[in-house]
Amino acid sequence: MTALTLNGIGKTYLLEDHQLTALTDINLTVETGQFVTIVGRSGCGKTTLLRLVAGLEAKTSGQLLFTPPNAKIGLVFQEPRLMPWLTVQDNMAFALLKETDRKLVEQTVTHYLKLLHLEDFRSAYPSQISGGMAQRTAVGRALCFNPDIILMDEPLGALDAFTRAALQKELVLLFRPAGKTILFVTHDVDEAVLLGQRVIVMGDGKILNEFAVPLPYPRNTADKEFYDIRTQVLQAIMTE
Amino acid sequence: MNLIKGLALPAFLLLVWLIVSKLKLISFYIIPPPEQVLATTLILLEKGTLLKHLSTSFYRVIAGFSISFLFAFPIAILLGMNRRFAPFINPPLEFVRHIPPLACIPMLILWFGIGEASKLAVIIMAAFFPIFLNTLNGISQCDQKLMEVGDAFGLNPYEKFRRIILPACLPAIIVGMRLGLGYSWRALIGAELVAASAGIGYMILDAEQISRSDIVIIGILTIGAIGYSIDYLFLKIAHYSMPWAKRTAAHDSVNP
Repeated sequence: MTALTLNGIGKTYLLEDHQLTALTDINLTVETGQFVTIVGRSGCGKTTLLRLVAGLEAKTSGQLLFTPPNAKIGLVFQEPRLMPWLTVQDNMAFALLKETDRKLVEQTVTHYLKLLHLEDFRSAYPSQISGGMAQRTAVGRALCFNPDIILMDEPLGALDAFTRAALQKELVLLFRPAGKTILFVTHDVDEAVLLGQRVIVMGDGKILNEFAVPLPYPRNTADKEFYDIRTQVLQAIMTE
Repeated sequence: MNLIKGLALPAFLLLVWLIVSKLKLISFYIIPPPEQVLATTLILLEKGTLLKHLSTSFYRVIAGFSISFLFAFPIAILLGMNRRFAPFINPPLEFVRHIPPLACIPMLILWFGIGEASKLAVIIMAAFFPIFLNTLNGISQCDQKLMEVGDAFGLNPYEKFRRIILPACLPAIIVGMRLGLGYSWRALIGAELVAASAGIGYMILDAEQISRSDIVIIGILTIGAIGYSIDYLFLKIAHYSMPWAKRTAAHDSVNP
């Protein structure tokens, strides 16, 4: 079943003295439960595309269709964007502000605190935890929202290599069994191939190419198949 | 340790004062000796004079400050949330901001008489701008990235105000209240020096007229002590209510 369809999506910003085209004729279909990664150079329009899907910006042209039409969208930003005045558990519960059943809220938050290894830090404020924990909290907040589609905008971009590698593994373990549809933006080719079942290569506001990654999880960056796909993706970006 | 460091300079000044008075370097009329000031303080406390004046001033400050907050806070919220009103309200507010409340005392006495109302009006004017400007500043500096989180989770404008804007600008509001309280005390004493029959300002003026510099010093020290105590209490409340922002508020204040 299709979860998300983008038909001829375009985005143009009206600046003071000229127009800036960020996206041109984006056509993309994402199936339910698919993990799709979008990769490209900085400024190629991948974040803009994600913001359009999230409804944070209005498209200039094209059609954006969700199945179901009122699909819940969860968003994980590049920075954790946690509320500094809320503890880790309250930041997660922030996604459930509209939920009136407080017991359900507590159960959901506790479940994801355990899953993300944040139980011991549930009462800590964002200023008291590491960058990796903060980003895990942001992921937990998105999961508490129980979205149909999760959009992730370079969520591991600001983390050190070790934390990043650990969280990449955790993301696969978290999302694959849950069957969530994921659109994951990154500028790291290895990360794109490591996580995605499909890798979309973007450049200059357009989709340049698409690669299927038919490798089982967990993936090994040292495998020949992984290396081959990675090389193809890299070439697609470099020849832009 | 910080308490000891903080008491070092006052202790040194007290020592200098003691030495100067013991050596009779300056006339007792100009600077009375510390023991005389202490004795007079005990007499004023015993007779209830100091507490009477203090409670009168305290009531005026709390009443005036509360009324000021009731005006300044909602107006700042209204302007902060609805930027389209700003061009209409900002110029007159900017004009009034530059007028010292004490300059208005003659007109305030003319309009409200010599009683409590004119003094309250002075305090209201003095406390208004610190509260108003800091609240407005807090709202306008609210992190747009956090607002986007609210959008992402489907919060409506009221929910975004309650769950994001208000907590985000709470440190600025507290700073505005602290400054407002300080300004209230300063303006009150000024108002009481001009026209009053009770209050710390009146006590100082009365002491000056009967050449009791010891009572003047008691009045000055009392104002400082009360101002410091209220500010300290406020700071403690702020720390208690905002455990995540223990050392941020004081650096982002807007002084009118």
